[in-house]
Amino acid sequence: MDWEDLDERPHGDWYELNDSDTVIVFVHGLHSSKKRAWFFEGRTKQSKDVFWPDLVRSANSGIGKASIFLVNYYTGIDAGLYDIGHCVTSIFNQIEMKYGDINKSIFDFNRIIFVCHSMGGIIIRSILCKNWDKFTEKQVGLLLIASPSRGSEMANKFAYIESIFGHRQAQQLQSSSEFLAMLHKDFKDLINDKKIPLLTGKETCENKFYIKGKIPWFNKAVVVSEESAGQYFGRVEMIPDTDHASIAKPDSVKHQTHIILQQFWQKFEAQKPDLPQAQYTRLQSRIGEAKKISRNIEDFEKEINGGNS
Amino acid sequence: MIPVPGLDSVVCSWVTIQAEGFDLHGFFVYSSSDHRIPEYINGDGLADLDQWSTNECAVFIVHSPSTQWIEYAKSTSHTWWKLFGDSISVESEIPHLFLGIENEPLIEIGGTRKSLKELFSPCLDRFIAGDEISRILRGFSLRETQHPCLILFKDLRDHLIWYIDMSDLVGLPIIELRKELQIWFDRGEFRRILEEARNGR
Repeated sequence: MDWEDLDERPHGDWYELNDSDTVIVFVHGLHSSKKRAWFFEGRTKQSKDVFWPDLVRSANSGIGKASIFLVNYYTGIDAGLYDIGHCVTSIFNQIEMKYGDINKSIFDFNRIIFVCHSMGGIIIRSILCKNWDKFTEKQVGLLLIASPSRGSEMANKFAYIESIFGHRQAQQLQSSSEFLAMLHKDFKDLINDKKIPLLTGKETCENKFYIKGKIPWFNKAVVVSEESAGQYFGRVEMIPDTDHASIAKPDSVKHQTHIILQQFWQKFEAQKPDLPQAQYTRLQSRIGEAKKISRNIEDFEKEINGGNS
Repeated sequence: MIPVPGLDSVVCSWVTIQAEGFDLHGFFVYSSSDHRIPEYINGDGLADLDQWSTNECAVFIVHSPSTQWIEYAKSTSHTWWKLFGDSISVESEIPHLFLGIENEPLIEIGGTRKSLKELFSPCLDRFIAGDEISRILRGFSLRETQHPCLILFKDLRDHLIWYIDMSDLVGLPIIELRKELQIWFDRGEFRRILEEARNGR
């Protein structure tokens, strides 16, 4: 599949599907889509268009063989009452279902890396909290890119505008959000109780506002602060020269966000042989994949008729 | 899980089996040298697999059932009892007296040691049939070396079947073997096949 083949409808797509035991799941953020969230638009002759999942699957990505799944959910400005809870249900269905002729869902992989931008991180954290029992025997990686775990001051600033549109998702992203407070507590418990024993993560944040300099009172503001983005997995990585959108749109393998993913991949790989033997055995099932095969019914008749078919 | 003497008994009982309304059927095929699968089946395996394969799937297994199994099948009106109950006599006191030690080779006769089950329940011995494994594999157009495996099908004469290779289970300690099978039946793949069979795809 290529970028041109993607549409804006709220369903997931297998962007790359191979026999690897690892899948990278890209989850976009608010007011975005699987097609736009990860797309760097080259505006000069020197810079060309780059779609991050293309970079990830390229030979020089520094990331090993993995299938790639792109999640898409309804989050337009007209989303209205379609709140984060609805998004959680939509995405869980996408990662659980098998598409068309493809007899595989995300849960058929032993190792899952979620790459989540902004609100995508909140949704995946919510899915992990609600469905942790489905991930207990998986190795799960969670790369949170500018995900406002404790809400966004910018969402507070735009609260009035969002309230005019009745946009529930944006309202739930405010730092005073009860939904986020509950999720924060549940996710902390999930980590402390090791409900998903093989869960690791990394958090990053942007370092500037979209249009720095043009609106003076926003010069020191960012959509997702370092504090809000760094809550669960140690030191938060601030990506230089990025705003809330460009942080998820690497223009090359040298872009800092891509390098963070490379490093995350390497650690994820390195953790594999260190797994306790019992868990490792469970991750790598010894029972072969079911193969649908065609048989010759004459063989059967021959057996039951003692060779006299 | 339905222990059978071999392929012919399934073919002969097929109408009765179909009447039970299973969505999916199958053969769990292994030989006596596929350690430790036979050992596991002799222990808790039969009951485990009977539970994990659910009421919607009947898996046949070439295996001599224990007296505990026969008691269990009788008390639960298990499909196995409906198929073979008539030919098995457990009215005798003997199986009850020797419950738990029926497989122990306690008595020596003519230089070979026999278990109580072999001595007192000759009717069960017909479930032990070495070349039945090869017949089943050939009957499903598989090579005689393709065991251990699980063969799943909706109808005995379906052209399309599912083949699940289990050769990597050979030699595993019983506790790990049990876990592998439990996870497989619990995970999506078995449920997907069941769903596919149910929907007739």
